[in-house]
Parts: sequence; structure tokens; C-alpha cells
Amino acid sequence: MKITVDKSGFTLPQEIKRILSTVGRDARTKFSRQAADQLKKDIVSTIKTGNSPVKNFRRFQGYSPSYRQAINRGRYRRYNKRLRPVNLTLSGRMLKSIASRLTTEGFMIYFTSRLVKYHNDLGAGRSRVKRRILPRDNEVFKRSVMIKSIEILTESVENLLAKKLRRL
Amino acid sequence: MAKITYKLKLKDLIDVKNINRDTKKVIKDEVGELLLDLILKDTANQRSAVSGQKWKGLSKEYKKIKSKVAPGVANLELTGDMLDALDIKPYRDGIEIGVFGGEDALKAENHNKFTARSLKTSLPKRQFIPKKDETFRKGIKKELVKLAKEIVDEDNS
Repeated sequence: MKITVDKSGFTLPQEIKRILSTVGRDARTKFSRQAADQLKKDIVSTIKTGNSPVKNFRRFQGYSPSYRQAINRGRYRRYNKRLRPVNLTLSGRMLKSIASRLTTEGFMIYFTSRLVKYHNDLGAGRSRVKRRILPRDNEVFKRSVMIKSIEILTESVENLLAKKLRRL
Repeated sequence: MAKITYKLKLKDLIDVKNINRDTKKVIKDEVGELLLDLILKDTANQRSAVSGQKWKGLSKEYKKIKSKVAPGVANLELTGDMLDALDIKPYRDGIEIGVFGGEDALKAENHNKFTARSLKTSLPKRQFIPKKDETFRKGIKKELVKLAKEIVDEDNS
């Protein structure tokens, strides 16, 4: 199956970029991988609690009356779909499609699922509701989403520096 | 229903003497958003943003009822209205966070047990807003202080 990568979904948090720019190439690759894995986990867990991972976007708007009615009537029973939280999860495939790729500056986060485009940019369903799951243009991820990845990076950089100092 | 809120003073996070008004505004906005997210995160993880302790699970009967519309866990989300109403407002000395009136404030009051009336209700205490003499758990406070310091450092550099 051909996987379509939504390139407009690529993002690189500035805080992480700044930390990564302080280390050499090998260390950057290693640290980027660790940070990307953590960030992916935190993005998905934030979305699953019904909150947008993007700064200045709060909780996701509730489902439309017609979708709520369909859920109540048991149309999505096989997915165990409920009215709350608004977690963008039906089969779960869209959130599972989150991926990362290393770049010269650090890493990119993106989703391979085409559904992301509808939720994030075009608007989903008849009501065209947008639920931001990836930052656009000048937007950034929320600090609460990046706390752990930044912690991992800072710790790795500090350990590396301490190691180098010991060698001197 | 009166509001159920908590006022967090900037001076409890950082020395505000030499900070200009614009920077204070940035700190209030950024810290407020982070605080809101961290409270929602703790609530989703069924723990108190005040004590840091896990909340007691739902009663068998209520779990059965709740499971029809939402996960049967103590995450304070049935219709989602109360958590949607959780908001932040800056004031002169800092930020005010909580539910600012309406029916959702009554729900928040009953969960947080702020008043004698709410103590009489059968709802177990699941606090997410501190009382006047309390504050947020250590981990949250640490992140807020860190962010405030970063903003001031960035402004000075």
C-alpha cells in the first residue's frame, strides 16, 4: 500500500531545535530519535484526552448532534465509540499513523493518514469542524506536550557535556 | 452560582520587582495556558492537581451509568461541559483559574468541596482547584516557575 505523507504536517518545535543545535551530528541523531518518540507519545495521549496538542487551542469541540445521535444509536458500537472524550478515535488508525523523520536540524513529526487533513485543516463532517492536532504556520505545540521531550533532550545534552568534561 | 476559582499570584512564582508590565502580561498568558493544560492532564489521569493523589474510582452503580457515554473512570468528564468551562483570567497581581459561574461552577463546587453545602452532597471529593490557603502540587508549581524564569531570562537577554 502506498503511504501518502502529508508534508504540510511537518513541524519542528523551536525549543527542541534550539537544544539540538548545541550538540554534534551523531549525538543530534541519537537525541532526536529519543525526543521524537517521546513527543509522538505525548501528542497522541493529549489528543486521546480530548485536548488539542497545539498552543492556543484548548479542548476539542464536542461532536455534532447528528454524530452524537449515530453514536447513541449504536452505529459505532464495534469501535466502542462514546460521546466523550472527543478523542478523534474510531478505529484508532489515524492516531497510529503518527510518524517522525530525522532532518538536518532535528526531526519532523507528521501523520501518514489522510484523515488528518480533514480534522486539522479542511474541517470534518458536514459541520466542517476543525480540531487542530498539528501546528500550522506560526503555531507551535503546547509546552505541556513538550515537557518530557525537552527534559529528555536537556538531560542527554547535560550528560554528554559532563562526559566530555570528565575526559579533559 | 458563584465562581469556583483560585488566584495565583506572580510573586509566588518569581521575583516581580524588576519585571516590566509587558513581560508580566506575557508571563500571565503563558503560565495561565500551561496551568490549564496541566490541570486537564491530571484530571484525565484521574489525579488531583492539588494533592497529586489519585482519585477514588467510581461507584459500581455510577460506573455502569457513565460507561454508556464515556469511559467509566473518575476523570470528571461525563458531558464535558464542566471541563470545557475551565478558564483563566489575568488580574493585576497574577491569574485567576477556575469555573467562572453558571451551572458548571456548581458542578465544580461539588467536586472540589469548597463550601459547607457541597460537603453535604454525596459526591466524593475530587479536587482540581486549590482553596485559598492551598496551592497546586509540586510538579505543577515547578513547571510554572521554570516557565516564568525562562520568559524573564529571554526578555533580559
